[in-house]
Amino acid sequence: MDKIKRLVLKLIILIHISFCYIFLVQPNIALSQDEPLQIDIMGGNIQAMPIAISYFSIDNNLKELQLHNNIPNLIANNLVNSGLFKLLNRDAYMQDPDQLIGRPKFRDWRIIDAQALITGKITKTTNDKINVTIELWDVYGEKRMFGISLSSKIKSWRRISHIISDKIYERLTGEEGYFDTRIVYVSESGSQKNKIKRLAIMDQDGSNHQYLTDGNSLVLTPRFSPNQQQITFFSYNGINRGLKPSVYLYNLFTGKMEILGEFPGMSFSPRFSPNGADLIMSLSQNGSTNIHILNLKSKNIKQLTKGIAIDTSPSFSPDGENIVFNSDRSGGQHLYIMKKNGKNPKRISFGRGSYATPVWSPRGDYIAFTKFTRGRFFIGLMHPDGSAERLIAEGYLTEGPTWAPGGRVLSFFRQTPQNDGTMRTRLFVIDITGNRERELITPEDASDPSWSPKNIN
Amino acid sequence: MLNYFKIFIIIIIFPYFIACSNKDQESLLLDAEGGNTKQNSTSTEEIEITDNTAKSIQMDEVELTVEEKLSSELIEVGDRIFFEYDESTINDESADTLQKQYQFLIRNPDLSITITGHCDERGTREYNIALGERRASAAKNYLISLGISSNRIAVISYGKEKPTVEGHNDWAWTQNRTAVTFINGK
Repeated sequence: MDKIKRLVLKLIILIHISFCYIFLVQPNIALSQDEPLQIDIMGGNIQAMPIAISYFSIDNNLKELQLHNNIPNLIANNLVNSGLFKLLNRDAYMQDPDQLIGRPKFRDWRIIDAQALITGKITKTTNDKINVTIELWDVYGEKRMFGISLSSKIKSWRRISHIISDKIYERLTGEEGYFDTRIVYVSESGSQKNKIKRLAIMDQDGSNHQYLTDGNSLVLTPRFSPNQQQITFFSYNGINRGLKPSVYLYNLFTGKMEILGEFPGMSFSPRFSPNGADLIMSLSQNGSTNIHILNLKSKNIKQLTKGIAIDTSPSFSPDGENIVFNSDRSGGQHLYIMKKNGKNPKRISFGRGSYATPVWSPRGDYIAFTKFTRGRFFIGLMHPDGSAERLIAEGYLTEGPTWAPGGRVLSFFRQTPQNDGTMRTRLFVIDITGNRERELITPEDASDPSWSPKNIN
Repeated sequence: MLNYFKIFIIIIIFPYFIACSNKDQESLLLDAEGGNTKQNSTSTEEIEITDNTAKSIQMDEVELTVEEKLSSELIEVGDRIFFEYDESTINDESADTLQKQYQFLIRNPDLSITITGHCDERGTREYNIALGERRASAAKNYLISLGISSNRIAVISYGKEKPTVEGHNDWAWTQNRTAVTFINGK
C-alpha cells in the first residue's frame, strides 16, 4: 500500500516536472532552434520584449562627453517609446561595457531574461569625428544578429543614435524604423478667441525644438515635402495687405517663405504629391470648394473636382495614382477616392457620422481619417476599399492624423477640456493596433502635426 | 500636571503675542503713513511733470473717425447672421438682417465690405474653412440678389479659428456659427 502511495506521488512529481518543462522552459528552447528573434507588431496586446542595452565602451579621451551613456540612453528611449520593448535595469547587468567587447557571456544575460542585447563601442577617428559600432545579440539563440558601424561628427550624436535605433527596430520588428525623423506642427498659445499660432519643428523625440514663424500671422496645417526641404501650409499672412488666405511654401534650408500663387478664392488644405513635383489643394469660391493640382515648376493648375459640394483634404496614394479626399456631395461628409486626373470618384466610407481628413499610409494599405459621431471625435483606419474600418483613438476633439515612415505608427492632436474651462491641445503617437498611445511632449499647446519622411543621410 | 503647566504658560504668553502683533500692525500703519507722506511729496513732483504736458492732453479730444462711426452704425443695423450646425441656409431672421445691411450699403454707396465666415469647433479644420466660406458666400449672394454689386463684397473664411465667444457648449457654438460683415479700411 505504501509502495503504491509512493508510486503515485512519484508520478505526480514527474508529471509536474514535465509540465513545467514543456510550458516554461520549452519556449526558450524553441527560440534557440534557429527561429528568428522577432516581434510581430500587428499582434494586439503583445508583451514588450525585454532587452538589455549596455552602456558602450569608449576611448578614454572621449569619456568626458558622456556619449557612452547618452547614445545608448537615446537608443533605449526610442525603443521603449515604441511600446514594443522593455529596457532591463542596468543595475542587474553582470558584464560591464569593456567586458562586452567580442562575444558576450550569453548565460549572464539569460539570467536577467534579456531576449536581445545591444553592445557598442565608441572611438575617436579625427578631432571632431567619432565612430560608433554597435552589435545586436540574440541572447537565447546565442548569436550575433547584426552589427553596424557609423562615423560622423561628434555633434551629430543624436542622429547617429536615431539611425542605430532604426536599424535595431527594423531587425527586431521587420518594419521600417521611424526614429531618424522630424515633426512639423503648429504651436499654440493665447486664448481661444485670440490664438497665436506658430510653425514649429522638432525631432520625433521632441529634441532640437525650433520655431519657424513668429506668430504674427495665423498659420495652419503644415505638411512635409517628400524631399524634406520644404513645408507647405495655409496662412492668413498678408491679409492686411489685401492678400487672400492662401497656401504658402517654407524652405527649411533657406528659411524663406513664399506664397504659392494668387488664385480666385481661398486656397487651402495643401499636400505634396509622392514625388514632390505637384501640390494638391482646395480652392474655395462662391460657396463651393474643389480640389486642384498645381505643378510646382510650371505653376500650371488643373481643377480635379467640379460642382457645388465641399471637396477638401486631398491626399495622394503612395504610388501617386489615386487621391483620397473628403466631400459632402452626398449630404453628409464622406471619404472618396478618385484617379489622379479626377476621374472615377468612388465613395469608400459608409458608416454613421462625418468622415474627414483622410491620409493615405506611406505603405498604401490603410487610410487614416478623422471621424465625428455622437458628439465625439475619433481617429480611425480603413483599407483603401473602405473595408475593415476601425477607430483607434478618441477624444472631445481628435483630428489630423499623420503617418510616420513605415506606415505602422501615427501622430494626431487631441483637445481636452480642462476644469477651468480652457482647452489642452497636445500631440499624441499611437500605432495601428490602437495600442501604445503616448503624448509627444511640446513646450506649449500643439496641433496639426506632420511627420517627415526619413532623414536623408 | 505637565499639561496644565503648558496651558498655563500659553495663557500667560498669548496676550503678549497679541500685543506684539498689534504693535506690529501699529508700526506697519505708521510706516505706511510715513510712506504716504513721502509718496505725496514725490507725487507732487509727478503732478508738476504732467502739468507740463496737460495742454497736449487737453488738445487730444476723442473723436470717432468716419470709418468708426460707420462701423458702429453697421453693428446697430446688425453686422452678423447665424447658422444651424453644418448649414449655410439664410433663415428669415438672417434675411431681415441682410435687408438692413443692404439699406446701409445703399445709404453709403462708396463703402466696400468684407464678410467673414465662421464655424463652431465641432468640425475638422479644413472642412470648416470651406464651410465658413460657404456661409460668407451665402450672405454675399443674398446681398447681390438685392442689388449690391459683387465687387463691393469680399469674402474670407476663418473656419473654427476665430470664434466670437469662448466656451464649449451649445450656447457658445450657436454664437460662433456666423457670417460677420466688416467695413473695409481705406
